[in-house]
Formats: sequence, structure tokens, C-alpha cells
Amino acid sequence: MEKQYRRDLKIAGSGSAAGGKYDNVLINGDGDISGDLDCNDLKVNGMSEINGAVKTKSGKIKGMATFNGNLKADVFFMVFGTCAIRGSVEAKDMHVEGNANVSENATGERIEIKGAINIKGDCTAEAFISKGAFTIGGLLNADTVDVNLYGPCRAKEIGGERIMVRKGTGFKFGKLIKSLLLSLDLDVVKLSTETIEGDDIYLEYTKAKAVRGNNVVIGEGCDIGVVEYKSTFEQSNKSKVRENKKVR
Amino acid sequence: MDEELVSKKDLLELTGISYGQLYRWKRKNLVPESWFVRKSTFTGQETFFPKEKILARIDKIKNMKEDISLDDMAEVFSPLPTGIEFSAEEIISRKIISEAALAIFPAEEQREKISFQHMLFLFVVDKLLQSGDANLDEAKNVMATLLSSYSKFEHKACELFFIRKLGVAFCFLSVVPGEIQFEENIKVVARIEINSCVEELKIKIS
Repeated sequence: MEKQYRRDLKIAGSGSAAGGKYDNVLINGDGDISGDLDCNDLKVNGMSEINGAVKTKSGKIKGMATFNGNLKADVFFMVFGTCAIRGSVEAKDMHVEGNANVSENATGERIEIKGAINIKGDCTAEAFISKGAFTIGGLLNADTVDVNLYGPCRAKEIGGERIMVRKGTGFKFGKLIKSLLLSLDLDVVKLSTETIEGDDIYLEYTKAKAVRGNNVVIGEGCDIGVVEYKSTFEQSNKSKVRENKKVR
Repeated sequence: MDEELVSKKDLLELTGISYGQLYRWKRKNLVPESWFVRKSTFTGQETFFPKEKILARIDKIKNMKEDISLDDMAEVFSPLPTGIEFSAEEIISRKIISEAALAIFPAEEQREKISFQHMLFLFVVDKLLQSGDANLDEAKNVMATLLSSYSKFEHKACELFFIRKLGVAFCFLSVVPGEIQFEENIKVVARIEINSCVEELKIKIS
């Protein structure tokens, strides 16, 4: 294949462009893109709606962006504002410090949330680190799940090797999240899920029907239906566990 | 489709793997999503697996993981391995696919090298021809269906149905697991699970 020369696309002010292949795409102001976009770097400072699939090496959203299609970022994808992806997202390193909405699945090596994320499908990563709030409609599957609770967190199921859920400390993030999630009941700083399955599990302020693992530690503020463990089990007296079983 | 199922808990006990391993393998697509069968039990939702398939797969993974990385292994189990290509002569001389099947491959899709996906289609069609379930014209229809529709399933496990009504043949593809009921005078001539063909074909070419 011949080597293609990629140009930059810059929209300053208000404008629109067709999709295509570009080197750097920079949108300052309000810019819509109609069609699939393939670029090396995508930056949105302002507002943008992209009507097509996006493939990029890196992406940074500081403002508001709507992706009407799937998004793939080979290196990283960062959201500092609001971002809606009406498809699935695959990013090696995904970082959300604002608010993100994903209509299908989210996949990555490292997904870090410092704001709020809402994923309708499954969330798959090697490391899932949350210091904010999340809602995951399907399975959260990660080697390491590290959750600091600063807002309501929800997932249908959680599975992985190391699963750690702690109550967040300090108010810095709490304020940020409260500002983002005004409509939700904010006193419920809790993780709720149906099942949690992993090897090493530590939980605080978690409501779950079933927790299964090798080593399970239930810290304070939990409400668990049944704990099934292989090796060890510890429970704080400030927690409720209806039943615990040692399994082979 | 009444396969024996095994619950996740029993599976872990039977094989000695941990939850972490199972989820990691799922993440790497070593265990296909369609094998996770959710059923409600008195303790709430539980996940079950088709027993024979999952035990065979876990066995394979355990044996292979000494030698190759999980990512390479995903390629082995993937329904569409890349980078495997053969020439028409090779396919015939190695008896992977019969000459008769190769002859119905549409000329406009002919390339110097035949990709794995096209080999898979030929393999499926060849099965129908060899068993005598389909004649050459019908096999052409099946080929056209596979060429136009298989990619729409995006690697989901699917099954090819080859049916007859009043002697006229029809074929269609359907995602598994799924249930299909037919009207009375339809004869299901052949049902071919594409993913098991993938594995058969891989063994044949390796």
C-alpha cells in the first residue's frame, strides 16, 4: 500500500467536516464530523458530535462529545468533561475525570474513573480503578478491581482475581461527583451488585446477594446474602452476612 | 441441544482452577461468551457451562499454558485465526477440501491464496457434499449464503441449517444457542455447527 500523507483537521469556532483520515484532529468550539474518522490524535475542547466510528491513537475530551458509533483508541482516551459513546469503546488506557456514558461494552487494559461512568454492557479490563461512581449493566470483569466508594456504584456482576472495595476518604471527590450526579440519591455511597466472584476479596459498604472466593474479608457496612469461601473468611461485626459456607 | 450442564462452582472444584483464572480466560476470549448459560436457581442466578465442551477446553488451556502465552492461545481458539493461508493446490494435495467443493467456489472470490475463512466455508460445503446431503447446485447456494452472511454474526457462534420441503432445499444461518421449530413437512437434512468445524479444520491444517 502506498504511504498516505495525513493532514490535520482543525475546527475553530463553529463548523463541520466530513470524516476521513487525518493526523491530528482539533476541535475548539463547536464542530461536528459526519462519517467515520481515522486519526492519530483527537482533541475536543468545546462541543462535538461525531456521526461514525472513530479510530484514533489518543483522544482527549475537554468539553462535550457525542460519538454516534464505536470508538477505538490504541493508546489512551481521556474524558475531562462529558462524553457519550453510543456504541462500544475499546481503549488501552481509559481515564474518566468527568462523566461518560457508554451504550455498549467498554474494554481496556486500564480503566480509571475519577468521575462517573455509566456502561450499559460489560466492562472488561486488566485493571479497573474507580474513585468515583459507576453503573455497569453487565459484568465487570477485571484482574484487579479497586473501588474507592465516593458515590453510588452498581454492577450486575463482578468477577476477577483481586477485588477490593473501600469507602473513600476526604471530600474532594465527593463534591465533584455530587455536582455530576444531582439527580441521584447521594446518601447512598455504596456498591450494590448481585454476585462478586474472585480469588482475594475485600469489601466495605457493599450490598451483594452472593460473594464467592478463596480469601474473603467482609469489612464494615456490608449486607451480604451468602459468602462461599475456599480458604479464609473474616467478618467485621458492623456487617451483616446471612450465611457463610466453606466450600472445597 | 440437551447437553449436560455443569455449574460454575462444580466446574471450579472439578478442574481446580480459581475464579480469577476463569475470568481471565473469559477476558482473553479463551472461553466463548455463548458457553456462559445463565439460569435461575433457588439461590438466585447462577452460571452454567456445557460440561463436555468446557472440560475439554480447560484441559487444553492448562496443557498449553506452559508453552504459549494466553494471547497466543486466544488466536488458537479464535473462530477466525489470521495469517493462515493456503493455495488451492495445497488444499487439495493435503486433502483438506475435495476438488468438487473447490470447484463451486465462485470465481469472483478466487484469490491466489485462500484465507482461513474461505477455507472454512469450503470445509462446511464439502461436508454437505461428501455426506450426499446436498447436490452441487445446492452447495453453491450454501456457499453464497456463507459468503454473504457469515461475517454479519461477528464471530458469534452460529449454526448452518440445511432443510428441504417437498424436495426443495433451503439453507440459513442462526446464532447458537437458540431454538428453532419447523413446520411439519420440513426435513432438516443437516445442522452444522460452524465453530466445531473451525476446530476440526484447525486440526486438519496443523
